[in-house]
Amino acid sequence: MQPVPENRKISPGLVFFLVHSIQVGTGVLGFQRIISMHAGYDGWMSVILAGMLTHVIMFLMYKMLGTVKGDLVSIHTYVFGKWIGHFFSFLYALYFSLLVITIIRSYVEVVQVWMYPRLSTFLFSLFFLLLAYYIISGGVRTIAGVSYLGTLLPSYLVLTFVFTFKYADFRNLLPVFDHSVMDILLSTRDMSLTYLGYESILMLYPFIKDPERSQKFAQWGLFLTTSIYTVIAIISFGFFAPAQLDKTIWATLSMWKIVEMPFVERFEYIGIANWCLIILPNVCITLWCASRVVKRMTPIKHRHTLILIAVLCLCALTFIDKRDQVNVLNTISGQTGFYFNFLYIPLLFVLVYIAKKVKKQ
Amino acid sequence: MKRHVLLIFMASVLLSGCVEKEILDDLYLETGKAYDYVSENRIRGTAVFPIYMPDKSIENGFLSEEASSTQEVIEKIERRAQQPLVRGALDVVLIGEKLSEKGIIDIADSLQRDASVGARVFLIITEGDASDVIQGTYGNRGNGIYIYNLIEHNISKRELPETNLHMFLYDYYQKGQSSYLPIIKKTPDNNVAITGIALLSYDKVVGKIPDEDMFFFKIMVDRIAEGSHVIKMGKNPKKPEKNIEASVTSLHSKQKIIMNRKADPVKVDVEISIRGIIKEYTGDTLGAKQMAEVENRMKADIENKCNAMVKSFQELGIDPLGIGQYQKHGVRGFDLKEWKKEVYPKADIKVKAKVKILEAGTVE
Repeated sequence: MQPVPENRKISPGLVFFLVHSIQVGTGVLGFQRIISMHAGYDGWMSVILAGMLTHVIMFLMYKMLGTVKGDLVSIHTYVFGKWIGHFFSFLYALYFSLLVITIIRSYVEVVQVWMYPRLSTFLFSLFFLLLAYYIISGGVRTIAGVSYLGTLLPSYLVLTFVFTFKYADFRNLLPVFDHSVMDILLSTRDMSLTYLGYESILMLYPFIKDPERSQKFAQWGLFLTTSIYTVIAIISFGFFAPAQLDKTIWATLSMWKIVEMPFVERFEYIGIANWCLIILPNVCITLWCASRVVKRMTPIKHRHTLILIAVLCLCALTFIDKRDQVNVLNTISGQTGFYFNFLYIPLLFVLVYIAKKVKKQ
Repeated sequence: MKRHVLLIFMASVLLSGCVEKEILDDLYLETGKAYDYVSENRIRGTAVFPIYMPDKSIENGFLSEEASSTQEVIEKIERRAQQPLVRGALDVVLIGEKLSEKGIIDIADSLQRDASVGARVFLIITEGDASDVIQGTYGNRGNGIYIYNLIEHNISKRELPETNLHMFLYDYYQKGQSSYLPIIKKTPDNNVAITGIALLSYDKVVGKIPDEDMFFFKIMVDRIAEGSHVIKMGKNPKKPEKNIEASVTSLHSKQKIIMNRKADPVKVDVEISIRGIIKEYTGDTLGAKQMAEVENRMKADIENKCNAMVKSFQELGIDPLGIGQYQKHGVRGFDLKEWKKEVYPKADIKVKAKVKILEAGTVE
């Protein structure tokens, strides 16, 4: 791999925004129902548990990347050699593309259900991907800038949850430990899906100045996400009765239905429109990662792999038009993400460790 | 670079045209809705929407249809509406007496399902037909807004306990909690009045709190409550033909439920503490002694009324105070069926009140 020129690298502090902004996406709008399926209102513990897991995985990823001094493709070639390594890298390219599709489609679904039922998935995705293409062609620095804005500008949305306190009854969380440890672990697995996305650090690593030092910022980014998710989970558990939450697909959006402001009758519309800004860095980073993996494996130029993957994603997007299909899509990408992150990465870590030992001899 | 800017510009122009526009002047904004029972599987829905006249006054438009579901009602009404009806500004949903006894969850569910309906909508039970109540001419801002304001100010300043669509659904879905809704009726002089609170078992109305007892109900169910209560102090010792009355306005009231979950039967203490001011006193002087007496009388009033009310809730098998919920918070693997059948009807529930009069106005 040829080294990345200094003027295209980002400062380590920006990793904080990259990691945080890619984690927060459409998942936040409705993860509460999913975690309460197994663990009920003990689900907030799963949020924290899954958050702690992400810290461990992040640590493992940095260790691997530090060993091979490259990205995921380098790790794979290091461990498996060129051909098998490329096969695994290709799976990751597919996975990142799947994330692009899932993010855009879930957001379009929200817009269709809540605002414009006749919004065309194709047109919206087309223009959204064009915008993402425009940003990505500016390089990793531009993407980092978008992540920064995508974190900062919509951050005021956290304040709107204050409106729900009046109706929230936090005794709902009692009794604590009403569910078995197994239930809590199952819901930890379900929760880990909402945290997905931070594995993009595997591809971003070579683009960070002084990458060793950036781990601290990456971990803080994860910590912020965990705190926000925990707070939102606890607020939603206070706000909804358990059986009511079971019926609510987008609990976060439904909570906005109670917000009352003198200048706006219904706050969800502002919230959803703002969510576009949160989605944008998500799409940019995952799309960049997917095209970057393909670029590293083949002699094709990055610009061309980017266009290729964007077009493929767009084609796939137009085929998904029903709620249950979107649901299936979410489940598939969630589960693949779970296996890729929480099982494959520790395994890969062990393999890197072994390979290092073997190569030394 | 220029090419990209052009692209973005084109994107914004094209994107803005790709969904349907809704211009406010070309719509009927539904502000109120009434549902009535017609027969099994058939309801009558009436929509009210303001029509803005050229002279800036507002008239009420009504459209009414019969169908088997709320969505079908909307479809049928839509066929007769000159302009599209939208539900985004819906404020009140009135439910007729008869329908409320059959169950109202279908209506609440369709409201909850509709993304364009907010969670602050008031669900209201009416005495008599709901369509009759909604079809009048009240105020000058349209009937929906009129009824909304009526309920709103009675919640924030008077004796109506807090309620809205979200709270109704919360209570409905919560284990060990029953919901309640306000009742209104049309008065003969073509006005609307609140006449009490409907008590529901799941989604069916099974009982009623009359308007004069709403104060006691509110201080039991609301976490922070305002409202006022008139205390009969008995005969004036100097002028026997005159009764002494004191009117106390509660500024602040708090309710606390303390449970002894292990006891058999379960022992529940509902502690209510009120801090209020005397707004009116018809006796001669109002000194420290009289104030203490007012406090004691009010305490006795609250305890008598509330204890009687709680008894009747136990007999009806409903739980608007959410005592079952309190039980659930301390018990792992809470069994709702057993609670409803065995424990709750036998539970020893006592209401205790603490009254503190802070001020008595500008004269003594």
